[in-house]
Amino acid sequence: MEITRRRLLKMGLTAGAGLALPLGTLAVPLARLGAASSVTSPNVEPFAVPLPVPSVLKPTHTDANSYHYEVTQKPAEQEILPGMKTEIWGYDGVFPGPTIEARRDRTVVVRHTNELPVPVVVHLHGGKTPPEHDGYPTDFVLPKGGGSSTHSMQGHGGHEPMGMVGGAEADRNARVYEYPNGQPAATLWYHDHRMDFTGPQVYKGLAGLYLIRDEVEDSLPLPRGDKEVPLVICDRTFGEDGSLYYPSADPSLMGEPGTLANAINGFFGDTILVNGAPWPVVEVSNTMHRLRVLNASNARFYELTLDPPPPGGKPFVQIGSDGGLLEAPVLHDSVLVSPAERFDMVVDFSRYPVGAEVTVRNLEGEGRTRDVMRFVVARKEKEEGAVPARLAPDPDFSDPKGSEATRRFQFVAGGSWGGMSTVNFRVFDPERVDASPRLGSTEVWEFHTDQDHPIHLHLVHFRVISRNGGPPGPHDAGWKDTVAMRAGEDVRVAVRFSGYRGRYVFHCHNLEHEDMMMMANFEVV
Amino acid sequence: MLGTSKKVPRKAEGTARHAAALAFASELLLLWALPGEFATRPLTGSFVFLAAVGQGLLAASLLFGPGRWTIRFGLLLNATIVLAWAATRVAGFPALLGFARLSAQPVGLIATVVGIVLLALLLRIGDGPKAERKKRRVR
Repeated sequence: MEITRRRLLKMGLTAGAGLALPLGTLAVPLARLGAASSVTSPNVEPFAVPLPVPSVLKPTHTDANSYHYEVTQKPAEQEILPGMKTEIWGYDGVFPGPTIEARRDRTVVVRHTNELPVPVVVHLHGGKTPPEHDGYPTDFVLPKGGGSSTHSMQGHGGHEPMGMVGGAEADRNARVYEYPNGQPAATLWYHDHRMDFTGPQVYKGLAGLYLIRDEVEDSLPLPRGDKEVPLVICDRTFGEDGSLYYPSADPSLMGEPGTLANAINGFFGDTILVNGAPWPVVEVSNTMHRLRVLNASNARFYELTLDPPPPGGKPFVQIGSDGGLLEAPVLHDSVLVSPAERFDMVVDFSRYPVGAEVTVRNLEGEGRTRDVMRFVVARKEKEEGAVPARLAPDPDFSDPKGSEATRRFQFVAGGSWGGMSTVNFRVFDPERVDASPRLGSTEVWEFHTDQDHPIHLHLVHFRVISRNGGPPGPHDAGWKDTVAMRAGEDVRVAVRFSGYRGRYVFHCHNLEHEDMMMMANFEVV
Repeated sequence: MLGTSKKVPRKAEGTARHAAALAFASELLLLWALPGEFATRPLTGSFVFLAAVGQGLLAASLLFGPGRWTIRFGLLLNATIVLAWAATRVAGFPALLGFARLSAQPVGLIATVVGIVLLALLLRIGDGPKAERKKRRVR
């Protein structure tokens, strides 16, 4: 073949435009994915940082039937890793946010002001809340200066925001949430629920505890005061400078939602935080302690155990679940806690000698994520707490035999090649109602999962009635609002639709799945 | 390389040059979208990558006397680009595996419009040889 100048030019152009240019461009995302997979947090000495306890929010005022609070959501710098400053987004600028303590049947009114650069939504997880205060994913509280445009709030499928109608800009940057608290004493939590961006916004720090107390709980001799310890457990990854690392498709959180492909089925941090401190340590007396455990991680499951186990085994006495106190205590060697679940447990440190170091381990973790925190039994003290054989009065579980309907929902995650996550093979559409239960009715809902999914229903509580065709698992006791499901599992739950009429969501609480649209609507009619 | 035989007539060369410019523009648009698309959705990202490679090859080939195979390749490629864009915005693709309808971003929209114009130009270039053959048969 004769090589002419024209042929040479053609070959050059073909090679350049057809191969070199596309391959050169392809190197950019490949390098980004490679870099994202190799981010490792700075080393932190485990069990050296003291365990912080989130402060309790003080009401601005109270009246006969309600407590009033004000919370400002804002960026702040916080020392999470020793000697480093980390920018977080926090309720009142702290992570985890301040704890709200409520009494049963006394309304809590919280005015949230948004000083963050993005829209926010607040959901009270586990709360029996009217729909307008539940934190529907498109009920935005707008950022300052962002009140006039909804363009940047169109996410997957270009959904228009709901719940933002007119009003002065000051009103649109703040929202009042009312929580009636007509439910038993329980460990709840409040967190961000913005459509398509819940994962990164919770990750940045928008989560806090919300405790409901009542007379039943008051009457029990459970450990209290400094012997009642909240443990908000989550995993995070940090850059070399101490900044939080999250693999957002668009780190501004105002454009393309979702994560890089390697985190599409959940982002797992390499540093375990408890109450915002890495692998903390706390000194305790040799008495019973009540641990209110919340898994606030985006995607990580924990199987918690104590190392060494106390003599005689069964270190954990579970006294409560998502929905409140159990009828009777349940003993566990370890507890499986999926994202968003709460376990209310008592550990009796009198079973250890003074001076013992008791490490909370995560049997599901590897390497650094196998450790969670440490208790040091530092002193003797007189025991004042006890766990009675009967905790709550009859929990009045719904009878599945009287259920009005049985519905089946399959939770199927998108592949890392880029599929959306679905419920019954349908992505979330705020306009579509997937179930319309009657107010006051009981229904049986059957869930099937393709991989690990913690499944959460807003508004309601349910009881697990079977797991994989057999009886409920050891961690299914009590009223639940979130159920842990492993790959390929089938779980049946009896749900009582009480409280309020209106539209609510149910979804996978792996927040990356949720943001990739593994969510659906039910409307109580 | 594409289209080394049965060249288009000289009359169509101007149109071919315009088509080449458009194919190159389309390639640049696709490459603009490629990093974000591939990093978040490798499947659609791979499609964008292959489409960009195809448009680059098409552009180079159109500049140097495209043959029938170049035209056919260009028609197939741009029809695929236009249909894939429309399908993923209207129906979602593939629905069973959980794709949502993708949002209509300006870059993708412009690349699709360019694809439609390219289809028209390629059809016009492709009509040249056919018309000549018809003429010959009539004579």
